[in-house]
Amino acid sequence: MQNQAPVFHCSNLSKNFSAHEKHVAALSNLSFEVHQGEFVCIVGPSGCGKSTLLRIMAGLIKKTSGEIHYGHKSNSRPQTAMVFQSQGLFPWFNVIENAALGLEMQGMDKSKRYEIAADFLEKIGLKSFLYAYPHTLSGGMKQRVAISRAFLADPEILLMDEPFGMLDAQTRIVMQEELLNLWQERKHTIVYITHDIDEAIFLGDRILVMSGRPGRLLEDIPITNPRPRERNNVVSNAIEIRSHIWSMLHDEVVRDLEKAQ
Amino acid sequence: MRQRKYSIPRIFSFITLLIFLVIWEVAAQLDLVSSSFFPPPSKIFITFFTLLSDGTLVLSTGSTLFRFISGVFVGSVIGATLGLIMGWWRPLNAYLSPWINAFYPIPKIAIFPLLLVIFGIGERSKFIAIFLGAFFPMVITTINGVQQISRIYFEVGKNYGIRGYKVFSHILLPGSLPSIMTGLRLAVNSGFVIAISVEVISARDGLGVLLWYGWQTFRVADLFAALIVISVLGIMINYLLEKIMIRMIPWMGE
Repeated sequence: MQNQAPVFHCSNLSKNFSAHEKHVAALSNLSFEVHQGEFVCIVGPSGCGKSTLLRIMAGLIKKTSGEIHYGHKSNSRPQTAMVFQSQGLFPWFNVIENAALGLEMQGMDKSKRYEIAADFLEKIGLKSFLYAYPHTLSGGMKQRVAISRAFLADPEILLMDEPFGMLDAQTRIVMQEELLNLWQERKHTIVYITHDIDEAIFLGDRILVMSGRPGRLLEDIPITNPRPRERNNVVSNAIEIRSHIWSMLHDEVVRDLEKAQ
Repeated sequence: MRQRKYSIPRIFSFITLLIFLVIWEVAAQLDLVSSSFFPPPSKIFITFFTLLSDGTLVLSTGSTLFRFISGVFVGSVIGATLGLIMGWWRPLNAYLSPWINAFYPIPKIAIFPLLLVIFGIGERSKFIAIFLGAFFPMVITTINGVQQISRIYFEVGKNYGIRGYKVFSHILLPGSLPSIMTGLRLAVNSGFVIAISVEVISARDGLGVLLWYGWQTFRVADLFAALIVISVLGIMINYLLEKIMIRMIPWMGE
């Protein structure tokens, strides 16, 4: 798997924002690769530019300098599809219209895309909500729809920006398991942003640890715990990894706090 | 459950209306209030049905509605279209919005004499007045509606490949529709007021004319009959708007 060309790689990626003649460096000299089928988690202190990185990968904003490359370019599959933290669904579309958005934009006709979307939504427990509008759904159900929309668009890379950050702890756990099941079934490549170290260890094949602003890559940690993972199986080195990441982040957070004063 | 919840207040308001009419009737019959200013409801109802059966009310309502609907329809459509374009295309907004903001607060009735000078006393001046009354609230609320669409929807659109005219049909139009509906309500109410007003000032037919003749000939019962029609129309129009809104923006909830 690792021998193939990466589906994404960037080198010396930097991003500066300028506002009112003040330049703020958000990302500085990031270099990493993402391989086909990998689940890559990115953790870092808040404000470290994680979301900026994801938005550059999604093509929503431009990089300032450096190189980014996507692996194979196919015309039929979009490069990326993003799951936003919240509020990403169109409130004026019902569940199935939202979920089938990517398919619609790829030119699939209505009956076909509704069939595929209904199938998918049924599998993740939204069977009786196909024609409900988002405002009638709970936070967890909304994110299920958002995840369905991203998977159904069938992108080269799925980008997720703290998709479960706004959910309560119990819903989040269930959603993490559902996401892993979907990923194992569909073999998509996922880049997943979180500030929750445990979540990153539970989900990821690799964890990229980022520094505080401007975001640099501190470490690239492989998580070798066997899959399928179960939450109750505490794997030997998970606690070590956890305290290792936390010690890095702890310093970064303290540094940020001192800078802010 | 639902029916009970609604039927109790409705009965109460019906009862208060009835009590009010009875008091009015008695007071007018006993000359406690001047029956030349406040003719007893029974007389108003007789006048109402006389005017109804000789066709006066139907014809007047017809011409008022025709003026109102044509002016409001054209004003709303043009207002919403221009508002969508201006909300989306900032240069145009920069050019036009100072003009729109300058004209908007002028009561349209205040410029009606000018419209009479320019367009004559025929239908055109009335149409323009009602048109303007509908156009301004519509264009302003629509511009706001477009500008208030959350940036995240455009990002979602970009990420999922929404391009070209689909930006309009998938994001701009549905995203601003709640505001357009608010604009429609303002446009309709302003258009209705202006339709009646321009008829009072200068028209051959319409409910406003009926009001005016009622005053000039001092047939106060005619005046009240016209007012009944106007208020019933107003209620019906707002009821209809409510239905249209629920139909057009089902995602807004209660």
